[in-house]
Amino acid sequence: MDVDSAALEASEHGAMVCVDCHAKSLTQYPHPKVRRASCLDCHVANEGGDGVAFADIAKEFRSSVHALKNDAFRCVHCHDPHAFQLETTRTHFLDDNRVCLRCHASERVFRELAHKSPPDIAKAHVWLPNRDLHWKLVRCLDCHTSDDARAGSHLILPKSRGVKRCAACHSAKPVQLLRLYARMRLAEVRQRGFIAATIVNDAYVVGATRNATMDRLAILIVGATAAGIAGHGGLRLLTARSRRRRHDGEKDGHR
Amino acid sequence: MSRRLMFPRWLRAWHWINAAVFLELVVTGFSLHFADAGASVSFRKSVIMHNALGVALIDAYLYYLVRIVVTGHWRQLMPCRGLLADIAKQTRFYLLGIFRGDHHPFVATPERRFNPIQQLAYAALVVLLLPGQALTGVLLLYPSLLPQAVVETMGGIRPIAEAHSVIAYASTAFLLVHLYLALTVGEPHTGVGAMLLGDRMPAPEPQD
Repeated sequence: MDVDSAALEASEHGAMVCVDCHAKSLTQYPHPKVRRASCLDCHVANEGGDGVAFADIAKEFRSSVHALKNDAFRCVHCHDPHAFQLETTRTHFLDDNRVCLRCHASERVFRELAHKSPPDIAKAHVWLPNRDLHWKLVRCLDCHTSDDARAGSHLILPKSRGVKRCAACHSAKPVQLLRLYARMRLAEVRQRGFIAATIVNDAYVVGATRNATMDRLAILIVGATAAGIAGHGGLRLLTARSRRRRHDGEKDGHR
Repeated sequence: MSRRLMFPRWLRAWHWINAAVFLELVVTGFSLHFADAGASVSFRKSVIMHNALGVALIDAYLYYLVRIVVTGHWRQLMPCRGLLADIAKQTRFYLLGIFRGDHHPFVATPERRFNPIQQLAYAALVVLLLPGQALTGVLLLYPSLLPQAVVETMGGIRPIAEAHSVIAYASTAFLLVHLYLALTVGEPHTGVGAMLLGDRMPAPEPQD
């Protein structure tokens, strides 16, 4: 039995009893592998939290690379029903990567489902500047889900369609970040009326978390400098003739 | 008789290398900062270039520091007595005399190349802007160099990034003014020609 009872108790399913999901007719011990209930048996179409309908999640999942490549793929392959906490997915979103890596970084687990070795993650991300920093602060999902995904990013894309456009995050309108952190964004906007801090926690996302007021002020000052130069140069052009006259006069005077 | 150079060879070499790197840092830096709004270099390329160029600028700066100490050129940047009055005189020239065709209030010599305003601007560049940008740049490249306590007090590395931006804007303004004055005000032996050609633009002999 490899269920951590403490984790189970703290999880969303903590108040349930085993047989709510597992077949009720177990008579042998040790129990044979038993058929489990499907998540959607309980989580019916419109029940999801955060305004996310399970019907939408299911739809996205069916188009995801996981579902398309493997019929055996189920919710539980990512979401451990014995430990799942909704609150954790909101507040510790970087733990997400551990969910992905449980299979993608393990030859044994990956092979069980995919019947082949996992792709070399390090090699696949060589193109990405500051790769390790990204891995520490960004979710796999942030780049590997579809722009159309709404239901908590369940539309996981094949490798070839991962986002490689840096400005999707590194810009004043970081669509990628805003979409994926939508839930947290709402909470923070309610609290403090601005979004940047949630997106990055204590990181600085070049191009995304810039100080707009400072930028406007600085551009104004640099612009004023340029205008001053243009004005100064223009005045010198305008006064060039009188200067020439003065110099000619001085020369004449010397003669 | 040896010709008196306004700008010795090492200074000209440093100046042009520094200028090229500086300019590319401005371009790639703005491409990073405004990645969505008409960036001229792709983000990924900008990251790689900006990091490498930053290191190059620091190397050039260290070379310059060593050279000005060894040659005594650092004295050129030290303000002289009567600085305020000299600045007033030079400001008056830029705001008035230059239009009337007055003579430059300060004649540049190899011993004293800079007028007081130049002196202040270049001293600020050497003492504040360049080392400030190098320091904030290195900290942004290697944030782990900062003690965790400092980062927490600051609330992340954002203040460092903002300081880097402020200095970048100041440097851009400096570049604009510097280009304008060097291209249009400098005399043959002090302007761009001298900085390019150096020994073919001998400085005038000191007048008795």
